[in-house]
This record gives sequence, structure tokens and C-alpha cells, in this order.
Amino acid sequence: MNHETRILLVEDDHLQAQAIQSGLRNLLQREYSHLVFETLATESDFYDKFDENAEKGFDLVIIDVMLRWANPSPQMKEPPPDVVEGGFFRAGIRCMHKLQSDPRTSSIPNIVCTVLDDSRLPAGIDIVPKGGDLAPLADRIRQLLPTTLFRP
Amino acid sequence: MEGVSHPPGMLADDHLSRLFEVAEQQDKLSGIREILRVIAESLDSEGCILWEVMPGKEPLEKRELFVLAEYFRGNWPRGGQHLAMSSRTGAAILLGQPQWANDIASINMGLPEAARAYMEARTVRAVCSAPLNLRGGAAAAISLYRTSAGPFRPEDIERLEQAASRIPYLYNSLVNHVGLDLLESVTKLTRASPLPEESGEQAVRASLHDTLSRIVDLVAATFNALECSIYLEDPLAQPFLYRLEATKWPWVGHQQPKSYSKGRGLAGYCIDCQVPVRIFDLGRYQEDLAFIKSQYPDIQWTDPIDLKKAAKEFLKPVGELPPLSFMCAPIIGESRSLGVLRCCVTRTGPHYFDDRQVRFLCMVAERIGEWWSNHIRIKAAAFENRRWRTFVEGVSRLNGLVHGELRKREPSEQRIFEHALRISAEANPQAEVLSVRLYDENTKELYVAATHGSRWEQGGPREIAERKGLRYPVTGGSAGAHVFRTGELLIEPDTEQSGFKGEGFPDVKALIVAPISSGEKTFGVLDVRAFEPGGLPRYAEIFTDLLARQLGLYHSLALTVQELNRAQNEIRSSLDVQQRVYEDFQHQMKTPVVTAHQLVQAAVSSFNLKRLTLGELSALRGVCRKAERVAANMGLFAALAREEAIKVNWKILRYEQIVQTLSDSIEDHAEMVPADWDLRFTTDAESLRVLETTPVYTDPALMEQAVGNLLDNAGKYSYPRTTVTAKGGVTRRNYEICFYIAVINRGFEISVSERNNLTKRGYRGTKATFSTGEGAGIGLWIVDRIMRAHDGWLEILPTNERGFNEFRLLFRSGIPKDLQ
Repeated sequence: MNHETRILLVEDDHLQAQAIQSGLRNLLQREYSHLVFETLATESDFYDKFDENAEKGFDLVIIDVMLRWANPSPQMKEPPPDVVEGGFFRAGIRCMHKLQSDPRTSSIPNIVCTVLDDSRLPAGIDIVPKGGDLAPLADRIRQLLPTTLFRP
Repeated sequence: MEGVSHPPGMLADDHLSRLFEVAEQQDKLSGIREILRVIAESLDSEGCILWEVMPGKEPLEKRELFVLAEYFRGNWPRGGQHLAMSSRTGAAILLGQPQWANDIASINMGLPEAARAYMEARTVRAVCSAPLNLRGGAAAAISLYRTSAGPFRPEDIERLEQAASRIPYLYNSLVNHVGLDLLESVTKLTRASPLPEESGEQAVRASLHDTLSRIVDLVAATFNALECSIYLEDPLAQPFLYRLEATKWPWVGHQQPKSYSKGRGLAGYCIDCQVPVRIFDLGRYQEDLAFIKSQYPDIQWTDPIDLKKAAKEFLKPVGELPPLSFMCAPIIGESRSLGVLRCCVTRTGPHYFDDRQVRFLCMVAERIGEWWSNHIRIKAAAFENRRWRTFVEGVSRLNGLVHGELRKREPSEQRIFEHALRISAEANPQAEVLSVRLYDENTKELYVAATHGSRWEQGGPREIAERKGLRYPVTGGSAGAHVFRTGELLIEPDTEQSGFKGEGFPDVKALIVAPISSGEKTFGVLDVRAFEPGGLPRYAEIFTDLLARQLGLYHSLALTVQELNRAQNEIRSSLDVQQRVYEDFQHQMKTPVVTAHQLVQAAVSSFNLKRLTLGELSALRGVCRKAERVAANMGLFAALAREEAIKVNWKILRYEQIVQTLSDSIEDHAEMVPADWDLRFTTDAESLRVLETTPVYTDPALMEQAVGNLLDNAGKYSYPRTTVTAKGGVTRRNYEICFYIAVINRGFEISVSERNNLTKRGYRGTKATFSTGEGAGIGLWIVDRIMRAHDGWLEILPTNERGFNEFRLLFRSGIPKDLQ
């Protein structure tokens, strides 16, 4: 029986989102029999769907750091003050803090995956550099998630 | 034998020595009675009266005599006090010879009926009067009255004349003696009184009252006065109000004035004119008014207590009242009227305060003046010291406040001003209305920036707002405007005498206005106003001046700090932009490379090693082009940051070439947008055909970079399900034909006011900031710089009524100047 491993990918670059999903499937297919990705492209989507996703439950969250607040639209939702203050530069970090501070999601492992130099990011964050080679990201996932290969 | 004088004889030696002996024993003016007693007894008389002609302008014969002093054996009740000049006594004065009558019952003595009855009741049978000159010529006479000793004999008359000739000397000696004693006692008292610095305020106050009360007692006793009072001014507490400090007030049931002000009543006249005032008889004030006014012009007095009635109630005379004599002397210190010492109504003779008594009263007043002036000076010095301490402490606190404020990013000058005004008010209690008025450069007016004092808050909200909202043109006549123009301290101790008015406070009596300035620059004024007459004290002038200078320094410092903060903010903001730009470059540079790598890696690591699809290849090309564009932007940014000019490699622009460039760009950008946005990119190739007839030179790489940046923005900020169009055309700019390449999209609205900001480095529209995960506000800035390098323009058309935004790259037609 196949067991789903559910990964929430918060990534606003659609090409990268596709490439990460595709690459991780290739790299992790042996350890995780059934990888399911769900993608969120904006910070506002992350907050809007937070309760739903918290209920739904994920095994892992991968978050980019620079994220737009919302897609351009005449009805674009007004950002909250902390977003206005911080802008898109550390949007992923805000999302990560939200995950860690909510009791429903605080135990979900999360990985920050970014092209930015980690010296510019807050300390104590699980950062995996974003590169063409997704093997480091896959290795980190293996460390964080038990394999489902031998699950009944 | 009546009316005939005898040759003068010698007064018996024993009588003469007795007279001098008794006179020397007297230490009060009432001792004159004892002198008269000795004379009466030595001439076997039961009564003796020293008569004096009333002062006045009329000739002697038309005046009256009054009793200056009297003696009657067995204390006869008080009888008549006045006598006509037609009497024997009057005749003695007018004729300059003794007059007598040994059987008064049988002759007409010229006495009023009441006096005649009085004499008869006391069985007076003989009278003898001898003239004398009191006090340097005052017409007077001494009269003896006998009841049983028989008629006056020639030797009696001779002895009376001898006695009369000595009375002026004896009386003068008595006055001098008691006067000097009084002076000595007052001097001792004032010297013994502690000074303000030597003991506590309450102890000093009690001592002051004690000293003044004892002086009053001494003066009253010396001059035999029923009433004696001292009124003093405390300029530190209430200038020009002379309060009753000590008194002997016999008129029970009649209220004594508790204070005097300048010019009011007899004492007020004395204070105002700084001259002693003496009135012979207040009971005859109205009758003698013309004479009194000839001595004291413009004097005004209305009997506040009905003195005649009060004196009758107190003295209970059988007949007439004696003269209700009055004298007062100004108490002066350092040319300032500090108060008045007054005496009124004698208990026994002498009933008239003569010149020498007034002089002694003046000398006593002078002693009091010296003492009180010294007291005030020391008190003022202590008071001023306290004011200075308060001021210095206040300024020290203010410096602390200013230090704290200036450390803030937005220092509040309002708080500084309000605190400064509070200090000024604390240090200077007379200042009731204080304000800081600052210069408004736009309107050339002074406006009220900060206020202090409860009077500012009087009235309804509208009234208060109007008062505080008053503005004063600096060219106008307000005190503030005057000081602002001249830059000099203005001190107005009396606004009624000056051209400066209350400016919202009609009752203002005095003001000080100091310029708030630093160096040559004046920022406003510090305005301090008082409502009590007499102006503000000298130290208030210094405080106001010093405080205004401090405020000028603070204001100048605040401006400098603001300027520094602004510069710091600019640098910080610039650094922030720079940091964001480099971080964004890092992100934008790495992302396409990483994406390309990931796409290729995903393909090669798949189980079946699939071939890349056309779409994947296009995406690969798109991200590679993006990487190239970002790299080029970085190069340009770095060059522009170093203020290097962008070098243009001029080439003539061909139709086919631009169509190809735009088509490729459009295609690349289309790949970068998620498919579900349904954003279409098109090129209007036909519009570019103008190039076939219009020669245009550009740098193709820079032009491609500019177009790429515009399309990048269009891709990021366009609404889903809309179209981005690239097109060309010809237009005029400054009467010059220009070729343009336009990128048109429908996205966030660009207002007229915002469009000029779009080309500023680091500027990002609010909504644009939140709809993308990259960018640092330099794309359009670089486009603008590219176009300037082309001697062209980036033209941004505000959102039109159909919701389209248009960004145009305008190139001049023809050969560029560089190539000519």
C-alpha cells in the first residue's frame, strides 16, 4: 500500500516550482513511494490557506525567502503592517515563523530554500542553498522525514 | 489799672531756677504743662494757658487764638479752645504788651458767652496775658488766671513778662530734647532689628512688626499723638501698595484704612509728592482749604471716619475740641517712596504739631526709610538669588530635556519651548503671559508656537483659539515684529506710555520681548508680559534675554540635527536601497541560472532521460536571457553608481532588427509568466515600419536592455488575462520628430503625480512592491539613464481612461550629435 508524503512548497517562481517538484520526485522516488506536492506562490495565499493546510497536515514545508505578497490584480488584498514594513525580502521567514508559532504546525519540519547568502538571514534557520543540483535538498528531506518504503 | 504795663523787674532767682529745673526734667512734649504749672504757681495763679494764633493767610487781627497748651490746678475740665483776637490775650499779641484785667466780672473781656460762663463757674477773677514769639516768630501769648490771690500787681506782670520771654527757649529745648531722644531710640530699634538673611522669614516678619510697633509707640508718646501709623510698601510682594504695618488707633468702632495707594488722601499725597504734610486742624479742613491748598496744591482729602465725631467720643470734651492736628512724613529709600509715617490729634497740649516736630518726624521717617530700604534690598537680593537659582536649575533641566529631544529622530521643539516658558514663569512670578513666537517664512509672520500662563486659557474654546491663532506680520507694529526686525531686546515697563499694546491682552502693563536668534539669523521672539504696574524686575530682563539666546541655540541645534538626521536618513536609505539592490541582483542573477540548471538536471536525471520539449527550451532561453539582462543591469548600476557615463555604441536601427528584437523579447517574457495568469504578449510590427522612412540611431544592446526592463515590469505588474503590447511609432517632442518604442499594458494605475517618481532610483509604487518577489526600483531608473545616454527620453504616460499604461522610449531621429 502506497503512503503519501505530503510536501508544501512555497515558491513564487513557477519555473522553479516545477523544476523542484520534478527534481525531488526523481531523487526521492525510492525512499518515498508517493510524494504529493502542493504549491503556494504568494505570501497572502500562505496566510489565506493556513488554517486549511494546518488541518490538512503536511509532512514537510519548503519555503523560498523572497516571495511576493499577491499576484497583481485590481482587487489586490491590502498587506498587513509587518508585510508593509518588511516587504517581500523576508516574506518566507515570516511564513516560517507563522508555522513555528502555531501549535498545529509547529512540529512540521520546514526547510528554507534560497539563493540568498545565508549570512544575511536570521540565525537558527534550517537553510538549504537553492542550486541547480537538488541533491542537497533531497538529502536534507531524507534526514527530516522517515522513509515510507517499508511502511505497511 | 487794666491795660497798662509796668517797668520790667527781675523774676525771683528761685522761681527761675525752678522753671529751668522742671523744664529739663521733661522727656515728652506734654511736659509743657509742667512748665506752665511752675509759672502759674510762681505767680499765685490757678491756671495758665499758652495761646497761639492760628496759622492762616489773613492778617493777625482777623484770625483766632487756639490753646497750644494749658495748666489748671485740680484738673479743671476742658473748656473753650479758641479766643478772638479782640480778647485781652489777643490785644497783648497785637499790641506787643502785657494786658491784664483784675476784675473780669465787671469788664468786657471779649470772651464768648460759653467762655465767660466757664470762667465764672471757676470763679476766675483776674487775667493777665503777656505776648511772646514762639518758634521763630509765631504769634503767641501766655495767660495767667487767678481765682483768689487778688489782682495782678505790676511786679506780677513784670515776672510774667520775664517768664514769657523764656518760654520759646524752654519750649524749643523741650522739643529738641524729646526729638533727639526719639531719634536715638528709633535708631537703636532699627539697628537691633534682625536682617532677613539672619533668621527665618516668620521670625523676621514678627521682628519687623515688633520694631515698627515700638516706633509707633515712641512717636505717639513723644508727640503726644492719639493716632500714629506706619504704612510701608513691599515692592517685591506688591509694588505701589502701601500697607498698614503698625498703628496706634484710638478710634474704636471706626475702620482704619489698611492700605494706601499713591496720591490718595493726605498720606497718599505725601507718598506721591515725597513731601511732609501738616494740617493745623482736620476739624477745620474745609474752612482752611484755601490756605491748605496754597501749601499743598491739588491735595484732596475726604474725612473717611468723621474725625470730629471720633475725637469727641474719645476725648469727651466739656466744650470745644482742641485742634485735630495732623502731620505725616514720607518714608523714602533710594529715592523711592517706600511708605509714610503719620500722626494725628494730640491727647494734651501742645495741640499743634509745629515745624520742628514735623522735621523730627521726617528724620524718624528717614531712619525708617534707611532701615526698610536696607531690609528690602537684602530681601530683594535673597529673592533675586532664589530666582537665579530657580532659573539656573530650570535651564539645567531644560538642557537635559533638549539633550534628550535632540537624540530623538524627530526632536519636539514644542516641548522645549513649553519647558522654557515654564522656567521663565517659575523664575519670574510677575510674568503672567509668556509665549514663543516663531517666524513663518511663507507668510512673513510671527505665529504663536508655544504659550504659558493661565490667562492664555481664559474664555471659551473659540476665544482661546483666536488668541493663540493671532499672527503678526514682521513688517507690522507689534512688539514681536519690532524685536524681530531690530534683533534687540525690548523692555517696556509701562505699555500705556509706549506704542506697544497688549496683543490679545488689553490689560498688559509691562512687557519684555527678546529675539530668539543664533548668529545672524533670527527665528522668532520670546515674549513675556506682566499685568502689575511697575514693570518686570531687572533680573526678568536678563532671564528673558538669556533664555531667548538659549532657545536660539537650541533651535539652531535642532535645525542642524534635523539636517543631519535627514542626511543620515538619506544615506541610510541609500544604503538600504543599495543593499536591497545587491540582494535582489543576487536573487535575480542566481534564480535564472538555478532554474536553468534545475530544468536541465530534472531532464537528465529522469529515468527515461527524456528530450527537452520546445516549451522547456523556450523557458531555458527565457531564463538565460533574464540572467543576461540582470547581469547587464548590474553592470549599468555599478557604472552609474560610480557616476560613469553610459557609452553608446551607435548603430542605425533597421526595421527587421527591431521587429526581431521585440519578438524575441516578447517570446522570452511570455515564458516567464505562469500560464494560469493568461497574460498575452504581442508585437505590433506594422507600427514599426516608420523606421523604413525615418533613420534612427541607437545602441542595440542598450535598447534591447531598455525594452527588456520595460517588458519585465509589464510581466510583473500586468493584471492577469490582459495583453502586453510592444509597438513603435513617430511622435514629436519639443518640436522634434522622434521615433518611439512603446510597451503598453494594463496593470496598477499610474497617476500623474506618481509618474515622475517612477524613474527615481529605488522608488517602487506601493502596489508594485507587493505584487512581485523581486526588484529594487532600479529597472526604470536604468532605462531612464539609457535613454538620456541616447539623448532621448523615457516617457511615461499616466493610466488612460481605458486603463492602459504606456512606457515610451523616445529616440531622436537623424544622426546623433556624437556622429556628426
